[in-house]
Amino acid sequence: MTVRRFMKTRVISIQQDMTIGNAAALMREHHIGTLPVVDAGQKLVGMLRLENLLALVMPDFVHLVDHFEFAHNFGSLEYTKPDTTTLAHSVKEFMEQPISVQVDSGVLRAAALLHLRDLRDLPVVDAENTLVGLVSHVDLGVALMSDWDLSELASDTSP
Amino acid sequence: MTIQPILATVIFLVSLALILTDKLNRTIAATGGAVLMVVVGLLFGFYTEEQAIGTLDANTLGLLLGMMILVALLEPTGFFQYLAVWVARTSKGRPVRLLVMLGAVTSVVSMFLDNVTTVVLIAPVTILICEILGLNPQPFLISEALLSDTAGVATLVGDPPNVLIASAANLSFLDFITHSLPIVVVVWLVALLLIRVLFRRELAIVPENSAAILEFNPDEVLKDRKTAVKVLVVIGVAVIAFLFEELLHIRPALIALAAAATGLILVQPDIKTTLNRIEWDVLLFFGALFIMVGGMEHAGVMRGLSSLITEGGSLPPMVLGLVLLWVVAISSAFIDNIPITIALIPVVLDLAAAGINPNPLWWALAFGAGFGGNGTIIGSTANVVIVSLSERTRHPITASTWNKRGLPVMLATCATASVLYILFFPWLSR
Repeated sequence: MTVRRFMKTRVISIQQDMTIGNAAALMREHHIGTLPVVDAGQKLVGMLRLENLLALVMPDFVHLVDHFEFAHNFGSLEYTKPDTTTLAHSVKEFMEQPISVQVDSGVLRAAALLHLRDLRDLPVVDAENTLVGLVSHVDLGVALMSDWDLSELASDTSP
Repeated sequence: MTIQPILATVIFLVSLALILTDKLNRTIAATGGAVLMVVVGLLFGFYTEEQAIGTLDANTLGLLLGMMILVALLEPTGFFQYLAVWVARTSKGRPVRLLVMLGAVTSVVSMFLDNVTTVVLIAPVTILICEILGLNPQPFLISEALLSDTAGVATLVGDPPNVLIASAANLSFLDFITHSLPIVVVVWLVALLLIRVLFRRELAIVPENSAAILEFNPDEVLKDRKTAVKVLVVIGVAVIAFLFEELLHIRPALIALAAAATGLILVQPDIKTTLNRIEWDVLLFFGALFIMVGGMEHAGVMRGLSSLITEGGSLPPMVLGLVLLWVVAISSAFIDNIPITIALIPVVLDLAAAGINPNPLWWALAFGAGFGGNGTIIGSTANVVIVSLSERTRHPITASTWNKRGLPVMLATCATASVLYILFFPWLSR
């Protein structure tokens, strides 16, 4: 069972010289949380996650206190927006080192990698590091469950 | 002059220089220096292993360890954060009221418990409160550091230099309450007033979102009420016992360690987790400094210094006290006040042996060491902690911010302390 069979092949990606604003627009338009960053030759050079953009509006104290459940209301912070100069920064400045798998990687290995790095999606590349697909944690999880024997259980629980 | 005092002084000064220039961590530098002092002392015949062990002041180390264990038990209960959240709600988000109340609570707590721990736990919650209110946290953070450092001077257990001075001078907890506390109260109020004036622009802002503060629920912060109550009762009993130490003929270290043992028995925490919260590096630093300064003492450095003072000018005692206060204050702004205090204690003891009344000098040393640290960004551990926390926010505190806000407070507190020192000199001499 390799990721090739379960990956999405129509991947929304972004060039590294685009802006943070462009990236946010792509995420909003396609309702996605991970944007692989590629160069002109479609080679994978980075990864931009929803979390990287949300960090722009996250209050400072979130990193400093161990819990804030007693604050039921963040007040005016709820309406924090990044300003236009921040949104004009290039993707290159905000992207992370990419974590990817090869198309012929096993599904369980890919799922373990996601788990280890606490990620939601994994870009899939070929031997030349060209972006060829993307697998989400749901894709991988469902793939792993695809050959579980659930027939008996299903008949038991059906009303 | 013989070679021994020079060698001992060089070892001490080189260790101090390594700490001052950030070349080495203070505990590592002091440990290296202490070992070198003993080795050189053995080779040149001015210091023995037995003498080195004898310098370790068990009273200071025991008191510090006992209090650290109590703080380690209280820390995970959320008590410190509870205080900050409770204060925020009570202040209704009004900036000046919030500043005064946060400063007061931090000060009262740090009169009895380690002020670095207090600041470490209260400052992040302060940032949260300020951000929700839409206020710049700088005035609140800086005042917490300044006021808690100032308040710590008031009691025997409030500040490590006080512990050292009390142990060397045989001053009791009650002596600090009757001599230091009244002066600190006045100095503290002056510091607060000055902070209010220096930050008048930041504090004039009307927060947009005080309603969010009113919804705070302090009870949700106190994770372990039962343990918090137990430890606070133990600390309360210990403080009462401190007041009666002379009557009971026991030393504060025994009281602190007894309280720590009682706390441990009542709470029965995971002992490794609790011991991990103890600042072993501070205890080791103290031990190493005792050994290093002991080496200088045995090499005759301190006698040289004190005879220099007595022969030099035969200053009137009050002037001598004021000079000591300011010299210690200015050095404490740049160097850790713990090595300064440990190094000056034998000098004062020698002066006492030469016939000078040491009592006013002890208070001058305590005031200088305590208030001097307010002067710079590196003057006290609380300052360092506040600055490094602020660096993770949108309003980092820089050295120039501190020079405009902290330095005037240090000068004003030392000046106020000097005036009170002159006024109450006869009382402080007793």
